[in-house]
Amino acid sequence: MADADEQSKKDWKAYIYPVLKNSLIWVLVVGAIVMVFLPGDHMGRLTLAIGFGLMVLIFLYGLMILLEIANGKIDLSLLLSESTGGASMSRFQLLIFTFVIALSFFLLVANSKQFPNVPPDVLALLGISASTYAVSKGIQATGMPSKTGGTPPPTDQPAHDQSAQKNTPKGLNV
Amino acid sequence: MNSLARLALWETGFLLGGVFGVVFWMLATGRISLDGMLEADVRDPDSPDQSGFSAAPSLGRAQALAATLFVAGWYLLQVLHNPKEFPRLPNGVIAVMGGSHAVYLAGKAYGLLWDRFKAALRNGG
Repeated sequence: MADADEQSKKDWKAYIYPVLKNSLIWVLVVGAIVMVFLPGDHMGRLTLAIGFGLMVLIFLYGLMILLEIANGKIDLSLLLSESTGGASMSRFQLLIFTFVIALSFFLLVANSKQFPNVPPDVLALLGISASTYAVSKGIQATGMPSKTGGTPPPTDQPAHDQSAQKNTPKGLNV
Repeated sequence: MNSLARLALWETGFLLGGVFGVVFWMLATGRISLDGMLEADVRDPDSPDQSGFSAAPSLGRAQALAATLFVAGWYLLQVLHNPKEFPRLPNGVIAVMGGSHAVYLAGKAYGLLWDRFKAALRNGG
């Protein structure tokens, strides 16, 4: 177990350090190109160099995360799963609305070239969606034991009889 | 500065599109499973796996899925038709969303908590 952890740390270091190092090299290269070749005063060129450098850095980190998701190192296979197995409707609708609002936001910024006003309707829509997810999780946690244990299913037996039920198969958590 | 803004736009578009693409591709290929999304867990003392629960088809989930897809699609169409500002949502659409999700949550609570509630009442709270 300890060997596996150590190996995992080594893999992580072997992967992340070169990427970080390359990112910083790219940032420096882009910043230097901007500083040398773009016209303008020193302050303007410095601002642009920092801006372009940050864009490159954010892009490389974003790309790294995207590639990790695509090749399965960042595992999203349980993105829509309940703790007990099947897919979750509340997670799915939250995902759909998050994507729709994010895409809308991007399209609005791309077309109007300014930060759009967010009307209360949009907040209401996202609020309904996120509240549904939160309440659903609450119901799930209260009413159903997770795979790792939790509240056993109740029976219609009186309270003093429930101790006798504990050792029967149906009283056990699975 | 204009070139920086244009680059930011392309970069955001690429990363956002990449995330959407990867997630939808995983959904399409089954790497993110949608199995059982229209089935609800209900208490069942005779469940085959002795967990006390079994899955049953749920009308509440089906209508919540339909309402979600309808409202999300409608909203996206509105944005595509007029990509200058966020579209106004009619009160009816918000009511449909709220009602639909309330029905879904009520169904889920009934399936998972009703027996527990009854048992608590019988045992005197």
